[in-house]
Amino acid sequence: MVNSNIHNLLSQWGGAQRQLPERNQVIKNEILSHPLVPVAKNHRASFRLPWASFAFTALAIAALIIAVPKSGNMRQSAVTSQTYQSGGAPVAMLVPEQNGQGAASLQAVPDNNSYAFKSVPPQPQDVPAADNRELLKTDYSADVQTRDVRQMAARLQTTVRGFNGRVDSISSANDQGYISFVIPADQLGAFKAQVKDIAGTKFYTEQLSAQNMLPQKVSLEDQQTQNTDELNQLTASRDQLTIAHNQTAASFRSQIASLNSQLQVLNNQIPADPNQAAQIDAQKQDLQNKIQSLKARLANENNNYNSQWDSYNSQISDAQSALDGLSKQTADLLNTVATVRGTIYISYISLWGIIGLYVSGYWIAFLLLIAAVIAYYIHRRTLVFPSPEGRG
Amino acid sequence: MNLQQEQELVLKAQAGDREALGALWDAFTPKLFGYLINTTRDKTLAEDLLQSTWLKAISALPQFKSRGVSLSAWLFAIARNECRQYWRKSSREETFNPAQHDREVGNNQQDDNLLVGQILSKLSFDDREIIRLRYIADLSVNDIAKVLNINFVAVRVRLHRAIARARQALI
Repeated sequence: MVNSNIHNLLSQWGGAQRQLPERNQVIKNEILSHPLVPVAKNHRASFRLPWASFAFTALAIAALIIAVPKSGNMRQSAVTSQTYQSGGAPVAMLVPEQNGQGAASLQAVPDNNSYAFKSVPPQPQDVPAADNRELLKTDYSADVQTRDVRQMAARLQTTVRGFNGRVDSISSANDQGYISFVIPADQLGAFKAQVKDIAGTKFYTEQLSAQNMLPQKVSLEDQQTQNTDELNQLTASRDQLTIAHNQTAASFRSQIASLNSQLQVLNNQIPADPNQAAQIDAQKQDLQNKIQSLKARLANENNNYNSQWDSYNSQISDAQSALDGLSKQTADLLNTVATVRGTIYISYISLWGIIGLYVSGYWIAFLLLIAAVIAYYIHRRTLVFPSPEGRG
Repeated sequence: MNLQQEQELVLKAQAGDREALGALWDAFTPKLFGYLINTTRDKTLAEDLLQSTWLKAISALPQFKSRGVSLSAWLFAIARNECRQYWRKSSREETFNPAQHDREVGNNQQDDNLLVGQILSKLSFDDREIIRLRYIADLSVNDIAKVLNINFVAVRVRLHRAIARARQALI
């Protein structure tokens, strides 16, 4: 028997298992006497709504509603932080059609920043088109989301100093914080990579704004040229004044010396008669008057010269001061170009927020919608095959 | 009874023909009761479940539409659900007791039945259930798939494995 076919064995066993109950006739009569239930009554009871499908659909709609404004708000907050960071300077994101007039303003939005806001970019003023120098003043702003704000702030502070930077201000609480700093411009690339590595790509959003300081530089250069020309002109005028004064004074002195020598000749003459003595006295008096007049004119010339000399000296001094000021402004401008001023905003992120970063609300809604469709088909399948509960 | 005859009887029964209903009873009750008694190991309980199965079937019979599903598959689905409801209340399946099988059969066949019973007792509940539906209820693979609410291919695979395990236990 053991070696017989298992199918035959099971078929024999199955056939042997079939039997009627001992009270078959009694039970049969009881069952057959049972009235058939009217169709209409049971039909209404048998109608079942696909509640699971409804529930999944409702959840999908809710996820969609939550997802739409949430993404909008996140982007808005990033934009706000950028505006604050850039201060009073006009800021614009990279908008090619608006940036066609030159490279005076450039803003880059790297990585996962697909958003952009438009404002009027600073336009170059009085900059020759042939001048292709780039003196980019860079502002850096980043948003970092983390589970531990304080620790992240401390790590960023260390990172800034590690890149030969200077921390200007730092603030950290349990839910948010920020750090403002200045780092050398040539270290910016490595610094960004380091921060991104610390924060994680998904939790890091950065914004860069770069503005060409060429208009300011050109303006400074123009002012320097103008001031230098003015200084040279003043110096030349002063020198001409001295030369003219010396000539005039020498002329006066020469005339006075000549008149003095004539007076000396008259003094040495011995008059022969009273008439001649009177003539000599008259001549002497005339000469003395002329000498006095010339001395007065010489004194006046000296006064005028001194006055004008002082005036020129004062103007030259002012021009020199202005030149020194312009040199300092140029140095400051170059320092600004050589450094990057940045701010990193740190905010706490919840577990739900992390899920949202990896799976967008739209995807959650989509998956819930698929679940709703599957639930509906399962429901349909149970309707096709009558329920064991006896419902059609 | 082929499917066409079954459908004719069902239509008559739905129209209120008691004789047709009696014919359906006579056709399906031995399999149904055999399935129930093998599942529950209790004749009294099996009779109760048989009654409740038929009562529910008759109650829902006016709404029954074949749609490619045989009445027997539907009846066994109801019976299976009745068993599950009972187990949910009692929280267990009763252990196999050959002494309860008090049906009078010939000596050799009785030995074979006891042997199969012992083999089945070594299988899992799912394996036993699919073998019951196949060999006691004499359902097709398609109908078993409907009763168990699983895929047609899955039924074939499960049945094949259950038989293989039974053969292994037999050796």
